[in-house]
Amino acid sequence: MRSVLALALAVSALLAQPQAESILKNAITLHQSGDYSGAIRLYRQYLKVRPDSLDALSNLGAALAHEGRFTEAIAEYNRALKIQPKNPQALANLALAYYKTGRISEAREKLETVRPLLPNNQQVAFLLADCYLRLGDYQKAIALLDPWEKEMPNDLGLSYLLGTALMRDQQTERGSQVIDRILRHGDSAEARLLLATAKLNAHDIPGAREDLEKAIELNPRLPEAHSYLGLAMLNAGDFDAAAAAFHAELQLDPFNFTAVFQLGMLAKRDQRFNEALSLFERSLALHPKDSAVEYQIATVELATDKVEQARRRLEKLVQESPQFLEAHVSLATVYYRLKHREDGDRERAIVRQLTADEETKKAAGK
Amino acid sequence: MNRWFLLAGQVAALGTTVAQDCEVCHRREAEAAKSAPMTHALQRAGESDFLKNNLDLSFRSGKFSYSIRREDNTSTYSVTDGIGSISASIEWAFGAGIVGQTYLYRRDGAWYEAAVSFYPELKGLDWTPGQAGRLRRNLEEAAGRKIDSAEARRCLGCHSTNAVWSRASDLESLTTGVQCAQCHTSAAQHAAAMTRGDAARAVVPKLATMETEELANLCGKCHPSWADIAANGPRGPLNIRFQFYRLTNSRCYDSADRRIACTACHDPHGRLVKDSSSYDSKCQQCHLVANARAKTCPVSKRDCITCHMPKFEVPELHYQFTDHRIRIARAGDKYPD
Repeated sequence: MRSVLALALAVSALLAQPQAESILKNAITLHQSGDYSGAIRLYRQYLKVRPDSLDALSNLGAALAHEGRFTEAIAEYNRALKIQPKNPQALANLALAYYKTGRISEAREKLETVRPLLPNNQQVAFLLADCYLRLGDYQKAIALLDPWEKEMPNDLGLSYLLGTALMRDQQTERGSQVIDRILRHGDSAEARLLLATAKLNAHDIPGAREDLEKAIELNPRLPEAHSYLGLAMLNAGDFDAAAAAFHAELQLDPFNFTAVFQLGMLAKRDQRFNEALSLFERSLALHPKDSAVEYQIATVELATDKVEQARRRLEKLVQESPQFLEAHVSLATVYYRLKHREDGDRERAIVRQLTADEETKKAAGK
Repeated sequence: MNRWFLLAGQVAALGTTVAQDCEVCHRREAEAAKSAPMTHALQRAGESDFLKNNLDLSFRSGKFSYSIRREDNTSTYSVTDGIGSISASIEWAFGAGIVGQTYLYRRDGAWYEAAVSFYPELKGLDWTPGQAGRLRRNLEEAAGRKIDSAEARRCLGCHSTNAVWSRASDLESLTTGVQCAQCHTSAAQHAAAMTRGDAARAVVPKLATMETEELANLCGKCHPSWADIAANGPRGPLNIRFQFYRLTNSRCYDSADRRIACTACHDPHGRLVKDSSSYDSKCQQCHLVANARAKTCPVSKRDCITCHMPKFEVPELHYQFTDHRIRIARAGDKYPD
């Protein structure tokens, strides 16, 4: 009986093969014509017969990504990568899906894997540089973009990325040269944003604000322009305008770390602690293990009498970042609140030492 | 009538009643508190002695001229650049005036801190702390600094008692200055229970038994604490204003010793004592006889603070602050941060 059943299945599989191939073909046709939901349906149908088809999984991920269904897309790319872990296309697409969902550090990890496989792929290089920028790793972005700049000195996108990295890394002189190169192409939103970054670095807040407002006028959808305007408004002490700017950034990019984090800071300032906590947790999802965010969560815990939670978080933080002065300050406060006087005194002594070291460094710098 | 309005009415009533109720039993403290600077940390513009006694104040910087003029119990703050002008009635005067007094006005529904403040040392106006370096491109920017509701709440939260807000920026009611209930947070319940003769419910936490650090936290709600300054600065001589930060960095500071707590030297119910010798007995609580933890002074047994707590002037504030970092201060020493 068992052998009869096995034979029946084998015959059915043989019959299904040409039919399955035509499903895949139709799926690809629909995909190419822009009917993504139709393509998704057919890819899934095909994958029931051929669950290990790398092309179908990869295409299904791409179609899902087109539909904005990134979580499902990520699952399909990951299935594809289980079959072929070093598949460059699946890796690059997975990285892009992570990037689009604000999971920048995961995007960076995948892009770093795919880059040696596609060393001449400009998109991969620029996307990785943008991930470095978003994660605050400016020097890595510069190192990555430098060789490309030599090959493509007139590429505006490249100049913009490199100029941003240089300005944020406080390499003002070289950054200014890049800005000049951008300005030779005429006034642009990108150039204004870069100029504003330089002015913010130099604490010229009104100047930065002027450039940012112009940048937004030239291109209201320019990534990070609203977020930088928010920073300028914060510096100017106009908190309502800052909040409005951060919200505008989130309309364009719900995963903008600066906007989410700074809205958390504003909520904390206004003692809306639950809202602040939820925004900081969102920030942490965007920048996992970010010590500044962890610290802010601890301060909210402290302000809401979750002293034990704050203690655990701060102890972990100072263990990982022993030079983090503010964390030691808060930890001292936590210990005194818990009546661990000796621990409080010890943290205070660390703060004094760190402050003195900082002063010595400053004096040496002068 | 909305809920906030009802709440505001109730709290406003408590704010005034508590002080009167407290006086029934705590006569000495209540009497002393009447002249304490904290009690006058906030005044309505109509009640400010500086504004009453200085009918015409002026200040000029660059193209902007500032004035505060008094007429019919109203003080009007104006700034002009010679072409246009901005004027507004001053609503609140912040500070008892030991160092200075800063003014708040409202314009188009928003609160502003006036760009200039009154300084008794000058008997006149100068920049409000933090405003000297601000960019002034137009009259709006020259007149003052807009403060949002969060900042206004913080200002009034310390300079008044029971400030109640109806919406984001509308102040419903408050009692000016630091009244009993600001530090003794359950004073209202205590007073009500005492009136009913309910001794069990009248028990309140006794601030006098607080540990040094607990007390520092209580005072630190308004006088910036060690943690505030240690984390955010300022560094250098500007932090002389922050007494608890300075005191904590003293070699003799001991978080377990109440003899170095804020209230060991200062009575929060009374005036600030300015006679340096009156503090000698406080120092001698520890330094009367040499021992393993404290030395005695080989120079003098009097006026300890004149040497060990030198005064520094913050030019911007036109006031000499006592450095609470207790130490052996030598001429030419660098300001210890």
